[in-house]
Amino acid sequence: MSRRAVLGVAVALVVGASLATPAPASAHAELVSSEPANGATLDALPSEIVLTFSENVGNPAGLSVVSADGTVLEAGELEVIDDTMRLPLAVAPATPGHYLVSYNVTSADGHPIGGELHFLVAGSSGAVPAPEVLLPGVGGGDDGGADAAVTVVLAVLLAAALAAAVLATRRVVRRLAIDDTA
Amino acid sequence: MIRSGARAPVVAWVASTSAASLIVLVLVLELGGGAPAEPPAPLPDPGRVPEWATALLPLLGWGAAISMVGLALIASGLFGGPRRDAARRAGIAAFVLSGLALLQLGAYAWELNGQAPLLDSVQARGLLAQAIIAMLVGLLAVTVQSDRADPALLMAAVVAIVPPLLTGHARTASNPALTSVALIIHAIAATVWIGGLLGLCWMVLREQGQWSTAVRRFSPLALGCVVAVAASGIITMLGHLSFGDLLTSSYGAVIVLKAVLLAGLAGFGSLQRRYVIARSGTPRRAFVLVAGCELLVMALTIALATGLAQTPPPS
Repeated sequence: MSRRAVLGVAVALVVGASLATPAPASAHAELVSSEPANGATLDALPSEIVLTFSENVGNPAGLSVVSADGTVLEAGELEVIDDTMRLPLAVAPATPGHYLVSYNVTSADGHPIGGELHFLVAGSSGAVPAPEVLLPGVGGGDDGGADAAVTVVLAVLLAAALAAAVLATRRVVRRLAIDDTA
Repeated sequence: MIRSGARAPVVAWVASTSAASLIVLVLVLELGGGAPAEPPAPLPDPGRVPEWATALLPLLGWGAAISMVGLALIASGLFGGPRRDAARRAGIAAFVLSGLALLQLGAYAWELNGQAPLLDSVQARGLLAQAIIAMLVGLLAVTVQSDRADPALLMAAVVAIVPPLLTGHARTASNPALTSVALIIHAIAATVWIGGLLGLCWMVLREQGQWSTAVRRFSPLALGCVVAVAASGIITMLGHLSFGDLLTSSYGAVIVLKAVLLAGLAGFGSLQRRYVIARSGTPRRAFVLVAGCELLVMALTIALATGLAQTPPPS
């Protein structure tokens, strides 16, 4: 086969494989549902927190519930089975107020994911601090977004630097090649 | 040994290249969202040390793996050259790779902090498999000092780079099987290309063997690797994002930069073909200069790739 034919076959294979590849559905595991649901108002503390993800998750993992005054609720042993995290909570009197649930868990590709949600235990007390006041600055992780303009500028700068490097090397190499083989 | 006169610039080159790759990797992790971060206060926190170890050790691992495969390639005799010495050094690189995989496993155990059995994790099993295979490559290289064992050595060395590839992003790709195969081809082609060039540089610098013949024989293999790297890279990419995400996600941005670096490497490669291989005398200094530039760009590409493997793909 000629060189051109080999190249043509290679290009055809790549294009074919590209077309055969379905569009990506979801990359990392994501929180699908929780019990109690994010933002729910309950009459009493739940007996357990259950988080369900879009795919199987694993250890290292952590899940904790913090009350409005900053105390970490007593809890049993955290279970991570298939796509579910389950944390039994110790039975406690229903202190009214906001509760913040923080979690982190390991995605199937080995990378950590994390986030937080909150629920309200209803009560007569009016002065209930918002969850943002409890744990300021807790980030839910990077969404991996990038500015298209920044990407393009970076790529163009890198391409220009490489082109300059190749041309500069070419000048030196031509001289060296003549010196060494003459 | 490398001639004593050539040692200082080689050491300076290795030091600056390593530093530059490390900086690029840290930048990708920090900007792309893959950098270790402190969890919210009540959650268990192993600290940043094991997490940064897990993030940075793969870069060293790739350095060892590429040296191992490159030297095993020289040992296989495909290009001629000092086969026994190359095999022995490939063995040393294999032991280093094995040790680095075990270190990573240790860092992972530290992160896990007894929460679950270490080998329940697929990632830990992948690292253990790599450590064992690399250890066998090392033992094969130092105990069986025979030219006839060298093809087996090369095969085993290539197999040693595969296990961790199967436990990363490919698992969560839209088509895990296709993406895994493409990623394996991508990594093997890149490792053979970079390692082969590194092995040739080693031969040239120590002035042993028919290096000009070796460079000529390696050239078509390198060209094939470039095509394989580009094609398998596109297929791997499509397992994680569509063309539209290339510019608007950190994951895509790193892929764009990798593609630009690959184009730059093709440029340097064409210099090698036109001004070194095409000349009858095969100018030695010209080869070393261009190969040095190529290996620097390759090291930066590996840093990007190591960072990419830890950057969350867009959902």
